[in-house]
Amino acid sequence: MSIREDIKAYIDGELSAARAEEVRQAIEADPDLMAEYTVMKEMTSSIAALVRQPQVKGAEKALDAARPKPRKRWIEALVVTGLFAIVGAITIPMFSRPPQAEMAKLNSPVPRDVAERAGGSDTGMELRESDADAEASYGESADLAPMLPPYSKEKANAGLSSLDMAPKDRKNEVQVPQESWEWENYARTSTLGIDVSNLRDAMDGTLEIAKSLDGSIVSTILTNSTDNQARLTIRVPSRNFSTAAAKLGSLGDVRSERKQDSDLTGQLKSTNDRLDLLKKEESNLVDAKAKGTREREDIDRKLEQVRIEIARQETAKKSLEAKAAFATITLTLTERPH
Amino acid sequence: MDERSGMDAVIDRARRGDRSALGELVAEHYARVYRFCARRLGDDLGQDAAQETFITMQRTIGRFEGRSSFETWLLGVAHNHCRNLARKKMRDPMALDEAFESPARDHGDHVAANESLRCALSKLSPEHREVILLHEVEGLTYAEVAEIAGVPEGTVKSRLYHAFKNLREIMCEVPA
Repeated sequence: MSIREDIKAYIDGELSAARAEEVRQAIEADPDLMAEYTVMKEMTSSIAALVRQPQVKGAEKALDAARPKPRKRWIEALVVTGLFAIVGAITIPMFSRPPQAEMAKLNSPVPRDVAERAGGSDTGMELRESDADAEASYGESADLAPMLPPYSKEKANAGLSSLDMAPKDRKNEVQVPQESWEWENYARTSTLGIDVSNLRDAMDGTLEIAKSLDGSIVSTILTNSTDNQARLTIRVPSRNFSTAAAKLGSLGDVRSERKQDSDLTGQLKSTNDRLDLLKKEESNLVDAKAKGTREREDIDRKLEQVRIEIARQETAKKSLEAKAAFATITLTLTERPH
Repeated sequence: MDERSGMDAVIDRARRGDRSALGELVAEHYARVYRFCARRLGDDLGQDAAQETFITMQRTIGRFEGRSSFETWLLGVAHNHCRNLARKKMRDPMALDEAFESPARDHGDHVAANESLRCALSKLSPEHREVILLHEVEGLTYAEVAEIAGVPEGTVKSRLYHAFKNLREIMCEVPA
């Protein structure tokens, strides 16, 4: 490239030191080159002087677009709930499956002779007059585990047991089963339908039973226009669940009974594990913040998220613990026609 | 940590998807990008182009390899957006109308000279106007202009020389 062609680059300081020196000397030596250099330099300055400096607009909009968006917490909550449900479904049977014999005790109307052979009365087993079908199903063995009907076995293996039954008759004597520590983390519910001779007396009796077992009646609804039916919801400490169910059964003839025990061990374990992790993360973030790095704003944001999640998990844990601590019995009392 | 390596760390975080780092990059570079776009397209359309530039930045920052400075890369993105927007609006992508102060702001002895210069600049070829825009108006180095325009550095030097040569000739033809 000729000296002339390098004059502009020389003005702009874009030449190597050696080439710049070469051009400088040439310009000084040649009046034509000097004239061209002078004109180009003036034009460069003139153009620079004309450049517009627009007032900046729209910065906030661009910043808003780049800022972290508040996440849709209800979606997160749904996802977390879904995950818990999946993890729970997988882990419940693995973590704490009640012994089959225990399930049999609590869910099966055991024929008197079988229970007696198995030492049922000594172990506090609930005794009922059995009907013909029940006798035919599991009246031949003294071993309790094989006595479970097939459908109950399946449900027991899934960590959930339920039973609908309508015994034709019931012993007047109330035999209270012993509670087992294995039910510690279970949400226990029962629905009882009882025919009674006097509705008012039965309701009073229900209140007494609930009080005597450190529980309470949380709702009472008279469900029939002739006021001959009432639905009561009772909450009792889980340790008194079987006692309460048995005593309530003595108020009249049990028309229907359904029990459901949901194991919360897996959910509680997952919640505790998650809480531990979150607390560790919180501690790490607090340490990082104390060190005063450039990412302070980022740390504050993460800390806020972690603390919200900790609060959410603690609420979930308390809710699970409350579910496990108190059992719910829904009782429908129906007065027999006089 | 010096300012340069600090900004490199921010870019690195942004490349990994850290939105707060992306916010820092917007805060750091918005004014430069906005002025670049506004001088090409005017204030309103320039704002649109600047917004588009940062949206593209967020989407494609993972492709930034550090071969040029981050600002040059960003101005390259803005350059493309300006060109595309101008074409959409049926405007000359290399028009210089918005690059310079309006004649109303000229005063004193320079009024006629400035008008003559503006007129001469508008008569340059698009390639010459492009290098004038990027080098004289935006103050980019030859290497940066080469990166953005996608031509060798030697071409930038040559185009600038010829742009000025033509400018001088045109100005001689246009009476002040």
